[in-house]
Amino acid sequence: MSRYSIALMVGCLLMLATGCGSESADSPTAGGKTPEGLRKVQLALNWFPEAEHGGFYAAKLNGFYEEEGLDVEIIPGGPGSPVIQQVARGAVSFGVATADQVPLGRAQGANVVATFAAIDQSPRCFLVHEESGIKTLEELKNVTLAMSSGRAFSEYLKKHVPLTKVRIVPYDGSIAAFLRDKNFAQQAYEFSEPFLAKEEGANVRVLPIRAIGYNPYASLLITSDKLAKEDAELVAAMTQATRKGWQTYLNEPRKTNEHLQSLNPELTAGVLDFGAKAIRKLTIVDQPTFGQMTAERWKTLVDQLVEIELIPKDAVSADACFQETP
Amino acid sequence: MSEDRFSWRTIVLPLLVLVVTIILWEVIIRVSGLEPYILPGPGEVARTMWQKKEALLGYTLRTGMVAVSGFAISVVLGVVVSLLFSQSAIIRQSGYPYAIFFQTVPIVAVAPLVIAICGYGALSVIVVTTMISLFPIITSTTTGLIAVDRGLLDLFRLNKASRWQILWKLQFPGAIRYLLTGMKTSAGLAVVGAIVGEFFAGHSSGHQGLGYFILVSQNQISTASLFAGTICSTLLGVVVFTSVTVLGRLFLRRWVWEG
Amino acid sequence: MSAIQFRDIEKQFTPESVVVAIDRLEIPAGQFVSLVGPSGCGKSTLLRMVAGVDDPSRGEVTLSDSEHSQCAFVFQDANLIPWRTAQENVRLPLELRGPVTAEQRRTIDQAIEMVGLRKEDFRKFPRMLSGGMRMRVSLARAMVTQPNVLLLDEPFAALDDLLRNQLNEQLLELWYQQNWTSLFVTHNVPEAVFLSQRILVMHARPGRIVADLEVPFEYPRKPLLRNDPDFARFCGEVIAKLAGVTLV
Repeated sequence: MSRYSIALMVGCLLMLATGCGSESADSPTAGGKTPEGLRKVQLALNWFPEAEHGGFYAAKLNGFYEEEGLDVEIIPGGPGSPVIQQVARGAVSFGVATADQVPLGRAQGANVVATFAAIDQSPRCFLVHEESGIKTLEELKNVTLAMSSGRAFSEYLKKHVPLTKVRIVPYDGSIAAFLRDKNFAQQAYEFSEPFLAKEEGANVRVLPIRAIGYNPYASLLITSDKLAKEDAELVAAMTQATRKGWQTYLNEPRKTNEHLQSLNPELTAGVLDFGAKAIRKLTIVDQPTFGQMTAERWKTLVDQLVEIELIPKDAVSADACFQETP
Repeated sequence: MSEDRFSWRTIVLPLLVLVVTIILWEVIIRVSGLEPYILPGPGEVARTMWQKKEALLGYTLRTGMVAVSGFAISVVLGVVVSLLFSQSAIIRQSGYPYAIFFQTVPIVAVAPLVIAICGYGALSVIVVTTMISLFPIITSTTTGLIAVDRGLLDLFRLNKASRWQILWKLQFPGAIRYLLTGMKTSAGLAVVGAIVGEFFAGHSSGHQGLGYFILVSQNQISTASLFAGTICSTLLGVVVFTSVTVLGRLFLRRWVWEG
Repeated sequence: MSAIQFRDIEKQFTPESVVVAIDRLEIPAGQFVSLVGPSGCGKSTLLRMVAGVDDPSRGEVTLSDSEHSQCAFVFQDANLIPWRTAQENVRLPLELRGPVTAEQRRTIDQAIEMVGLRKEDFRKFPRMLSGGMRMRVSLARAMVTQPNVLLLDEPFAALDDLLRNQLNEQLLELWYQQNWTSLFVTHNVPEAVFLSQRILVMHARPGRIVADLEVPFEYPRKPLLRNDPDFARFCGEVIAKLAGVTLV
């Protein structure tokens, strides 16, 4: 599975540049009703369907959206999908994003707000070979490190870890280079690449970035400020159903995984099964506060983004980034 | 196919189009109310370019160096391959389909291979650039080498010219104008190739180019920077293309006559 | 002594069609011979076989084996290399034979002057020269190797009458000096009569020689010869042969 296939991204960039990558802002995505009286709503994913989207699909498969009077169309994403932009201008009502993208978008005037966080602990991590002897991110040295430049987590890593004699190279989405070289490290998601690397026989060690204090929520449900204000009822309904979907997925992922596999044939049953279990450990699904976010963590995140100079100081208020789940 | 003669029009008319485009751009922004994170206005992009002018210049120069290197290799390699193709129909017929390989191969698929062989950094980017810009050189030069004037060929045969003499005194000089046409197509592709190459292999510490800048801007949802990077790559393409054209006019006039 | 001999020549491009067939033809050294005939009668093919660019399918064309025996060819259009100047075009045949010596360089300049080009034209590219000038360069290029056989394939067909006549006269002047064995292919009967000692009339499908005529005019020939009633009468004879051929 390739997470960032850059050639595709080029295409998306072009589409974005010419302004035809997203539908017209006034398309009635949140307005229409189906014959059954359901309200049509679109949800834009940030990647091809995979385990990190399991809860959204579970909500649809199990009819939770319908119970709330919603007919949700899930639009798969891909490299460079402009989810934040599309949601901000109302081309789609809802989207899936990682927490750091919300302040980044808001700093640019793309005002989106998170209403639900499926994954509480950041699944963002780095892979090293056990043979390298590296046990923590601080010890990361004398290796070639593949990671996406300019992303918040990579800037954070660069700022907080000395990275002595670490050669940073572009991340091409595959683990091929990693498998070949014992002195290679790369970015990854805990629910995916560790499994693939082990399957190929590598003794892989997973170093989560949250260990050095960077811990944005993941698999967020986001919507625009405007929709959150004007149609709180819709947003609440969507959030509720999504929450139920995630609870179902994390406890009984099999049926949803089969569906995900039919949507994205590149996924194996193994990686999805592993992914659902790995994600479960990063959530607080058994607690009543599942899906809720705290002002404190958002503030930390915003401060961190200011610290690594991705957003200007005072440009974004942490409180505006999220909404209490009703 | 003959090109327009060089005159004030060849400069003024495109500039006019540029001005009209910028005005249109501004008008579209104002009328449509498109948000700046979707399409920033020309003013904002210009401001971003000014603020980051030193960084952008550095990125552009680095990408330009790589693009020009890859382009130069394409020209040399392309001419060598074309000479081989011109010398034997068997070599040509068996090799030509593979020459098309360079045109259709998705760089995503070969990037790991290129990196495995050449390592991360400028060398791999140059290889990717060459792969992308080589094909037009081969097709056009081969066409030129084969499309020999029958009468002139008779003249050479009549004078008992050797194959070697026919190649260097007739086929090759005759193919130069075709080569230049190929080079003009290839010049733009070399810039695209360098940027795509940088996406995969290019930004190891200190050698970042426009590809890196574009990726980072995209990752940071910084649309104005993205446009600034795009404009720089377009300008780079224009500079490389114009250089090829001007150098062609200066040094190849004998073989690339007009009219 | 014959400069060129044809013996039982046959040339076919496909097995079914014989393009040209000549049983026996001898051309003495230094003779000016014109070939006239309809399109497709194989005149050009004949010339190409003499030049050795085409080989006969049967039989052989022999050139007298004198030590300097060599052919030069003047093509239908000037056939100049566009990226070479006039001078460089004339130099080409010598270049192809080996490094050009200082003496040969003088020969080149002489040849260009002899065909009537001025010094300032030497460095001009063909595209900067008129049609007539280009043909002169072409002629100079043929002369520069000092051939003893000159093959001309409708060289002046594309030029206007005035220019053609002028170039015909100059060609004769050069022929007096160089004494080439000349084979001149043309559609134009008065041109053939004005230039040559002997005219071969050809017939198409298959191409063969149907008449071999002696031209009864003395050299040096003056331009006024063209106004002579005898000239017109002889042209009429050739045309009749040609027409007879065409009507068969």
